Amino acid sequence: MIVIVDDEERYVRPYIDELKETGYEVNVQTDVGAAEQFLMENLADVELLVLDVMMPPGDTMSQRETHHGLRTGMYFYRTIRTLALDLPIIVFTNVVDTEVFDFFNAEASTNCWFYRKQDLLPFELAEIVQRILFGRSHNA
Amino acid sequence: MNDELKRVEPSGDLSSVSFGESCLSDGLSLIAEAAVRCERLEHLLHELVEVVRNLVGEPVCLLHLLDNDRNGFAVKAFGLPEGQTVNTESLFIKSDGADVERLFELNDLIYLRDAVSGNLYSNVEVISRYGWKSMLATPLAVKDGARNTRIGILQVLSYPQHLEFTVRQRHQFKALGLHASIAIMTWRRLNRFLELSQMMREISEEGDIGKVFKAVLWNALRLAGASRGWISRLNPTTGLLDVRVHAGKPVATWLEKVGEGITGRCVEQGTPIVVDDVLSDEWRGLYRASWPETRSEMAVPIVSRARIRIGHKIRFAPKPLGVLNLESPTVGAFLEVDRDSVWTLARQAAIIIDKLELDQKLTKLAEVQKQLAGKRDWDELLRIVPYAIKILGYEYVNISLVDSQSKRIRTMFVTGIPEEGRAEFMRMADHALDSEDIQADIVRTARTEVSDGHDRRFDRDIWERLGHGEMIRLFVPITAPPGKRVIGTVEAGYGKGYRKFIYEQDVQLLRNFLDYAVLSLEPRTRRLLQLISHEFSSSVVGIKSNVAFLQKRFGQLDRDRINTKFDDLMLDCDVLQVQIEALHQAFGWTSTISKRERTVVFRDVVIKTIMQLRPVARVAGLDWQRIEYDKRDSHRIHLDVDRAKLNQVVYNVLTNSIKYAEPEAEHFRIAIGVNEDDALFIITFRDWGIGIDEKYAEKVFEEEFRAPEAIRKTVKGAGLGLPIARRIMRDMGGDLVLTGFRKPTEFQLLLPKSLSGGKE
Repeated sequence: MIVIVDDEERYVRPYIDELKETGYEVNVQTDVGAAEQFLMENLADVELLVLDVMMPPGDTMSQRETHHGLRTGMYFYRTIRTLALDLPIIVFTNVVDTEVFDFFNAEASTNCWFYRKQDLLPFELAEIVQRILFGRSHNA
Repeated sequence: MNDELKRVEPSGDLSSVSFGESCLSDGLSLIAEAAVRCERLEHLLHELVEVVRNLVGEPVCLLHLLDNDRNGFAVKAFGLPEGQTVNTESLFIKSDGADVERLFELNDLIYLRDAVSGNLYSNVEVISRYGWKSMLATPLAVKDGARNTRIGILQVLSYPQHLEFTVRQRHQFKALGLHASIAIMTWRRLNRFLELSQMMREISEEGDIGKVFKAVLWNALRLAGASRGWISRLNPTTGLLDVRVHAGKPVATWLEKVGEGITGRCVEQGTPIVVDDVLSDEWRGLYRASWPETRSEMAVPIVSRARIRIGHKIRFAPKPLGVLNLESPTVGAFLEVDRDSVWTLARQAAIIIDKLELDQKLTKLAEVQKQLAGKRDWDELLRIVPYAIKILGYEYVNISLVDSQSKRIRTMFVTGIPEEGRAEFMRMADHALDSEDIQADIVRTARTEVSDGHDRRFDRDIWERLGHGEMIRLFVPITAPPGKRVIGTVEAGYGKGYRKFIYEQDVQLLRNFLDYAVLSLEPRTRRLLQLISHEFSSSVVGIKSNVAFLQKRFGQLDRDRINTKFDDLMLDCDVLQVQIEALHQAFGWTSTISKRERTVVFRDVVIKTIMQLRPVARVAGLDWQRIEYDKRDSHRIHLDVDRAKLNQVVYNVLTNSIKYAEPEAEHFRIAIGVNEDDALFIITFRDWGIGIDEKYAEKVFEEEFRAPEAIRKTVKGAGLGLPIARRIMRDMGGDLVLTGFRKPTEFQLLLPKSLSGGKE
């Protein structure tokens, strides 16, 4: 299962549709609190996470920590990494904040990939997901 | 003074006078020691009298001191025969008597075998009434600078017999007098320092400029032994010296100018002026009487030393604030020691006044800074910045901004020039950034400079037309963010007349204020840009990704899925248009072009927007068909309006209703209705979402405000939708109002019927 965490489902609908057409089961979480709960309960079934950055912090994170929602994905990433060190995570965002970019760039060698939405069409995302999951199953 | 006096027993044989060398030297030692030991002047004077009586062996000893306010000498200490009392006021000696002149001008002592034969006292009967017989009097005076300064008169009188004083005894008495003079002056100098320290401490604790003036005047009068004086404050614009506080009930106070009169000259030269006699030839024409009896005057400038800017360098220069003026009916009343100590006091006062004025400026600037909050762009800032500049005392202000597209710098705001010349000035004050003009140079160098003369960088035409040769001007670059790119300049100045410099303190205050003004725009600008650019990116990504999906999968999709994708594409295009308008509104760029066209508002705007938002409702898991309206309203409200702007308003209202609906889909409902009165069409939007707390009824229309309920709902929002919608409605002559808070939440769109052009 691929889990997509993004509060604006409408904008990632084409990506969701393409991943489904490619044959993946896709679960969409639009609220970070619910997403965290879902991942904790279903971690064994999750093969890959696609994560947005700019999202409302919800009830589980503070406005201040997440810079009023501008960096919620960063905070969520740190939380998930404590649960799943080797879960592949694709950070998929429109945010152009250099601090966000530097953070995820530093994570690049640890099962983390950073892409801007405007740089990837739906089939391109699907190809990247295929490559990551194929590489993992091959290594396993 | 009318007092019972202490009886002092004389020592020695009353019928003979003899004081030997050893007695005299003992006495002089005692006098010198008393000058240092005594804490109070009256103790010293009484000890002097004791020493004199013991040495001379006569019972009556009188010590007079100069009273500046009464132009004479008053008894300050005395010794009398046992059982005798005296009214000291009756023993007052006027300064203008012939014997007094003899005492001080000739520096000669007076011996009278028969005391009543002299004219030291205007009323000699007092001498005979007391039974005093022979008199020996010596002046108390010292050299103070180039002149003999009168301190007082020391006398011994014999009682009850006449006495012959030998020449030797007279010389020795004169020596006593000289040492007594020195002792009194020594005491005064020693204690002056302690007094001054205490006075300066008191003054520095005052928190109000008026109280500082009063404290300075009162203490200066004490130091100088006077009771008449005033302090005036310099108005740097007019050069006038305006009396702020006075003592001694002057019959007149004068509005003098710098350079005029004794006080005006004092301010001009920056050092004290001591006039021994205002009626002398040198000063007669200059003195303007505040008290008719005045003979001597001391004017002390109140001036601090301040940092100034010349060019782009820092120097020090005097900063005149006012003048302290003391007067006395006694000729030569003010000594060098008085001048020095009062001047020290005045300089301390200047430092404190400068500090208090700085505090006042900071307080006023802080009030202006509060108005900066919420300002959206430089147009709004330009209405406020000049107030701050005026607080700093500038009369002429020119604010120029860089136009990076045309690479020019041009005046956006000017004040301090005649109204009729303003348009012409603004036309002329427009220079290329690569020109030699000073504005362009400041943009290049980012330097803060002061100029008070002609500079080759000045536009000659403007310089001559506005009389800039008579002004001193400051040029400050405006940088955004502070310290980085120069986006404009502030030029501020005033006439050079009585203010020769621009003080560095005012330069720094202006720079800090400008930095604050720019910073107040920055965080809001940055945050809004982040939010709006994200919205733009999301819409563009939505369009591209839907198109790419359709391109790849078109043949595989059924008609419904294809139409859903096309709906999404149209919506993303509409969202882009809405975001562009949000960008304009957020930065105050209201479009002057308003495309008004005949519109059936309910059909062409309301229903159309409902259709646009179907994908949004669908993604939120809500049934768009639960947005209800009466179909009979479809053809209502025919107005000439800007359809795109009205669409934006309805879009913002309905989007909020969808975003903030209750999570359970069955609770989702929006009801839209139409009413009217004589003047308005009223479109009502009711929803049964999370609601709005009544206390936020007006705040929801403030930019970037989001109610706590909205924040908890975990949807993104910049807090711009409702403020933009209201602004659009008000620009149209209508309004958007919140009339219901919870279940339903109700917004009313008010459209003036006057927009119909008389037709429905």
